Amino acid sequence: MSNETVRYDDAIVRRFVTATIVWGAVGMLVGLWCALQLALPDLNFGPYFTFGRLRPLHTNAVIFAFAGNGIFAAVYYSSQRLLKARPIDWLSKFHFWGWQTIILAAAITLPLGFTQGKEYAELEWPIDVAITIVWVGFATNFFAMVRNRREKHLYVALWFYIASIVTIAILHIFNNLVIPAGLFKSYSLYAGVQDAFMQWWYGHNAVAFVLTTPFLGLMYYFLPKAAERPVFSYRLSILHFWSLVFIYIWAGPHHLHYTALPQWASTLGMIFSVMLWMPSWGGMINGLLTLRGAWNRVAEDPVLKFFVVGITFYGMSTFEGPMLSVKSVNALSHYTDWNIAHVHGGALGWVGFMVFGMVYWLAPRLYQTKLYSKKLATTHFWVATIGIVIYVIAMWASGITQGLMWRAFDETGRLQYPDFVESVTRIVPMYWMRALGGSLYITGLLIGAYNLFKTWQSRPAKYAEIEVEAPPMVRAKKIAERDKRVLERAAESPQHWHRTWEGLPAFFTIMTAAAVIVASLFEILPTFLIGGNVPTISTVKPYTPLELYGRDIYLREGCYNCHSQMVRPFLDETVRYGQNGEPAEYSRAGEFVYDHPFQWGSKRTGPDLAREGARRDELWHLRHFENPRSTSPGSVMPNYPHLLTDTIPWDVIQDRVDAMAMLGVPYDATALNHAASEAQHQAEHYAKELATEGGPPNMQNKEVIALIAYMQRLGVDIRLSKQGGTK
Amino acid sequence: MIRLSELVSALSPTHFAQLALILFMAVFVAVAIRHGGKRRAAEHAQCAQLPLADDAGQAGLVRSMTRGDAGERK
Repeated sequence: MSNETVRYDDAIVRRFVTATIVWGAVGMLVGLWCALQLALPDLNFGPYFTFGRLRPLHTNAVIFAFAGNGIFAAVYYSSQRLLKARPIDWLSKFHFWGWQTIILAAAITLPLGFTQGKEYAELEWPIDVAITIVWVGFATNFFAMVRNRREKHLYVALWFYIASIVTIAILHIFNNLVIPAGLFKSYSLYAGVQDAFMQWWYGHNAVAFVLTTPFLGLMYYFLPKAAERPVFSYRLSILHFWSLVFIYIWAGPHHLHYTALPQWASTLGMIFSVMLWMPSWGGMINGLLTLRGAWNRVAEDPVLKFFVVGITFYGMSTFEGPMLSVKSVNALSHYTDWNIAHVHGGALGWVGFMVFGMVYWLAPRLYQTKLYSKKLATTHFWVATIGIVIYVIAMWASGITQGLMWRAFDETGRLQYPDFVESVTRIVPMYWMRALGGSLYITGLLIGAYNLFKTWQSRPAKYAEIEVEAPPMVRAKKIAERDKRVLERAAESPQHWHRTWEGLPAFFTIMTAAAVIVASLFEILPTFLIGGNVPTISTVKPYTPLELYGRDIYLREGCYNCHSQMVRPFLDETVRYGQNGEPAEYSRAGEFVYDHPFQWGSKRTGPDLAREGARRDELWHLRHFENPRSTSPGSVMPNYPHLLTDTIPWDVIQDRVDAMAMLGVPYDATALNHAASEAQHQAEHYAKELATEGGPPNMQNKEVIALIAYMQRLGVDIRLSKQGGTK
Repeated sequence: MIRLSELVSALSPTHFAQLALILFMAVFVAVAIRHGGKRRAAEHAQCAQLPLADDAGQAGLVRSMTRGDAGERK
């Protein structure tokens, strides 16, 4: 049979490359703004541009817009060539514009305070539905290329893409199962411990299957191209792939050490995290050794520079990650800026540099002209590298300082730094240093954007279509016939089974999904089905309608970005968060059974709030929300004066109580039928208390009252259980 | 018939961890053995060449612009 001509669609790659750079700049500039807000709280402009609302915008933009578009550019460029197949044009356009619309929707809704209140899964349900639809479009387009391929075997990069496409779909759907309580309001299907487990199963695997596996696919394709030599060990890539896919999915619980998550799950997460060293470093070694014999070119080629340092950061991050997952290390590092250092080493170093390396390699090919300036590309590399180093060192120093200060006792046995804000003011210089590092990194990005713009300007009037000669497409029917023969041969002869799988993409995909699902079920089933994981506490009752609305404000303002609600079973924490000289109870699983979603947090820029209820009077809270520095000098928390003027929308409260009731929260008849009036009644009580304490009068309709009601409820029920309420 | 929740509850969480570790080790050892031998070397080398061969037959247009120092203008 004669060869066919395949015309590659590089227009879609150009679009995604442009989106990568544009959203990268936006996401990182928002990140810089957030960094500066922590050093200079006056840069919070409420209600829409406070740290709590902008930080999710930063993380979502960098992960799903910068890295996401970068992944799509890599997938569309490399898959077409590895499969000798063109994607479906209209699906490519649908994918591109659909994804950009989702990003735009995120950029609008997050500052407006529409959030599910779960890190990296903040987007509300209508956007989640849109993500699912667009993702299905992307998957269909990708698998259409696989189906129409003219190359029998799937190269290793494609395995990583398949794993990413399948797993991200599973993670996204299961972590975002919610009951809507309005167009932009919903409650997680899960509560407390189970919600925390699902969230970090999702959260950690978002790191794995958004920020790792697609970039490993990128590495396995673009690094050999740039180095002009094959990957060091194809054999190692097989081991790398399967062990990574199988192990990564287990590691999520290491985000929940010493919390109310059952110990067994936490330990399992730690063990598998440590085991991750093996495949991660296997991949790193495979990447670096691909450059064997080409190291001399690294000195002069900015593409290879980006790749080498990117892969080195992958090695460093995948060393640091397992180390941080070891419980004794985690006891110090958790909730501190050490995690921020770790995340940014991976995001800026590994993800960012792999994207930049790819983009510089692609630029002459996509724009069919010479790169505008190699010197500028090299400058980008050095400025960004120095930026990362400054950033990461600042956050390491800050994180370790925080961890040590929180746990320090003096010679009299008292906390050495009993006022939490002392650990905040101490690290403000580190926040300035971080902002400097981030600024340098963004400067590098802008230099790169200029370089690409100038390159684009000298493009030809009309792009030449890139086409190749390839053997005829193997149609579905022929594939089926051939697969049957292949399987028969495999049964009869000792043919290499993995190569057989590589020729059977559907089977390969199923095996990948099975590895992920089986591994997940080993953790998910016992977490959900063993009743003993969440012992109930009889004194723990549902939030009142007013407290529920107050909790919604807590979510809306993104308080979970800076405050945890989890007292770990450590002496320093029970002492710090105790009342009247009595140590606090550490947090129990049964306390959170009505928390849809859980609000344990992952960072303590401010103190833990799990035992905040009844610690201070209502007036203190009101003043604190209005201007945190009036009650806590040195605090970096934003002002929330709008809470004192905005009115509670009483009409939404019944819908929210009803949604919670649908989730199984046992509300009584009054709440189920008259939630708004019950909430108003409680608000009047708090308003009266406030006035008695010398606060402003007539605050019963203001949002701050609902938030104060929620604050005053936190940790109160567990105290009642001390009289024998635990079952 | 025993319910899934009863079965899962009857097992200690440690059993899950042990089962999972055994399963993983078995898969890993199997993959390692299959790929450890030298007899696959030629096959692997052929697969490793896939990205380098993927623009074979492509018009020389792009290559001429990106080879060596010609890859930049400034």
